[in-house]
Amino acid sequence: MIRFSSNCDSLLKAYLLSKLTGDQILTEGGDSLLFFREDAVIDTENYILEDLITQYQDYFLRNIRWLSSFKGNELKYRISTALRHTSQHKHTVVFKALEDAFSKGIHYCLEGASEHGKQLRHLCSEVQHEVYRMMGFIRFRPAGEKCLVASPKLYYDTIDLILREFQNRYPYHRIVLVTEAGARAIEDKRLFSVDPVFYEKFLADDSFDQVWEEYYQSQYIPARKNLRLTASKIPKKYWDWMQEGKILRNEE
Amino acid sequence: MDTRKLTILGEAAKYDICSSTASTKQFGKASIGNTLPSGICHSFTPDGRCVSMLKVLMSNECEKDCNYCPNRVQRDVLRTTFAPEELARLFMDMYERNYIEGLFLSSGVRHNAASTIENMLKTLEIIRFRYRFGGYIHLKILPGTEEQFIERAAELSNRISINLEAPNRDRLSILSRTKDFDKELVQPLRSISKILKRHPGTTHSTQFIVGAAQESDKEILTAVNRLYSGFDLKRAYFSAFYPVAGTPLQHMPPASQLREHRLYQSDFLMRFYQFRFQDFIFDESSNLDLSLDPKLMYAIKNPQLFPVEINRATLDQLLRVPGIGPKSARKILQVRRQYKLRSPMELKNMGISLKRAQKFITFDGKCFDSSRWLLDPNRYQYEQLSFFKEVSL
Repeated sequence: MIRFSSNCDSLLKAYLLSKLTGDQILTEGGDSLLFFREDAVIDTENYILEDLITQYQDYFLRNIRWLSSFKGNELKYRISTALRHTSQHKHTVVFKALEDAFSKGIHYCLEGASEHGKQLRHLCSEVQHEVYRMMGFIRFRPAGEKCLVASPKLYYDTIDLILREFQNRYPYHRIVLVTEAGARAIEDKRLFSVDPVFYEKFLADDSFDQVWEEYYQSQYIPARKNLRLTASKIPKKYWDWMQEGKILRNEE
Repeated sequence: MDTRKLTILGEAAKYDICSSTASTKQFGKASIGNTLPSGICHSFTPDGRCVSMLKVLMSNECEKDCNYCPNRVQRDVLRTTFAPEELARLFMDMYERNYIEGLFLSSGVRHNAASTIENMLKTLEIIRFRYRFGGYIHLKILPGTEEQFIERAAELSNRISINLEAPNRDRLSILSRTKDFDKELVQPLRSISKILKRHPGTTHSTQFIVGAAQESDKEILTAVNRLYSGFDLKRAYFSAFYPVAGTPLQHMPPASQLREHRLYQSDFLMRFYQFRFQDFIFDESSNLDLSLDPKLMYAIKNPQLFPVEINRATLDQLLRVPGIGPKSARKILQVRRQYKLRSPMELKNMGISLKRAQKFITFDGKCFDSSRWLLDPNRYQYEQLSFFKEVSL
């Protein structure tokens, strides 16, 4: 059995090892390793990716140098992003997508022509979509001099990606995001954890809430009402969390 | 905090459609704010429109008499004006809290165009230089604005725009007696186009009111085509006319939103699909067909061009296939380099609408749908009859 960690390099190594050794990859149920003898488990941490690529090329006489090209990096980026998803089947999807990339070509996989390529793209785009949405939907509260705090509603492991995006917008601020899992902050492009209790007092109502609500309502043209379109842009799962959610509910 | 001014001037600006904040222009030494090539939407109103900017008027006092406009001089409404300092601070407070992505500033013509635009520019200067804001600003140029102000606006903004409202002089005269189409709208547009050559990164757009001046789609698209080819216009926006109480057009029926949608589809075909104006099919009244979209209409009227072979078609040919967009066409070209496409499912996985595309494509000469439909799209619509309403097959 081949054991891997949940990162892109380890997954790639596991895939190549499975091809070279003919062993199975342990995609789910890590606990069942207890039943295997220690020397029956191959750990990807003991191998170097470059060596495995060379071995694979020598053994199968196939050029897979595209893994180090622009397109290869795009695939790696897509895998890394998909791994932030909460889906239980993400590892299986990644391995099947890799199979498509190696057998039918990198473009076939990346453009989503295969079923698994499509699933990989879907996982990746859901994660990216959360980052993009949060860039717009998060509302900050001032928390002292040059510090902004917010409490986002996240479904995937995207907190550090969101913080990095916000750092470009507020380069001289400390940005703090408080979630159920804890609080993370960024300042001077440095990510770190902070105590959420300290920032909770700043998350109370802001006088600008009312300003925003008044402005939001002033922009609505009732003659063009189209709540289905709105719900496709702001999914209902965010309506209880977002300030304008209650206005949308009243319009339902 | 008294929010009445914001409500009045926000509501007065809501009919301005543009909400894009995409920009590549960077302002050096910014202490807050940035732009992204994709833009960001911060919210959506119950009508489904994106709220990405603080979209307000500097003032809703206006000397013009546009028959459709809620701010026209003869209309009895509360009038108010932002002070530059006040608006700049409000904007920065909202931006810091991440409610908005940028500023969209327009105005009624208060006293004259020069003094109004001067106030608007003063606001932008405070935002750019005092607050060192590096994000997105869209400034609406007022009719008859002089070149010197346009030059300054181009320096301070990411996008500037002037609303043509109607496609030509005759149509504008139906909408307004005080606006001069050539002198106050086309001339500034020409100046904008000339000035923006010196300001790379700043773009310009315009907006048409659809259905208020009984204009046809052909007239609008002729004007749009001229603007894209001769004035370097980035984008045209269309706003379906809706009657406002207390205006001369209050009893006119509202324009169809589907018509607005068809105009947008045609506009996208011109900008991204390499369609030329001559490719559009208009009916006897010079309007686009409302029942079929312009691309499908083109395919039906040009059956000799279809079906195209998916593994050999050029980018141009693929772009003409209904259901295949520029992104999908490029994906097909990429995949074809290493792998021969064999099944419609592969296209479906790539995000292509098979329902629309399948009739117009073949896979190695094999067509997976009937192309007979192309000969008469309305002929093959069947209805299952039922003797009793409650009992059906």
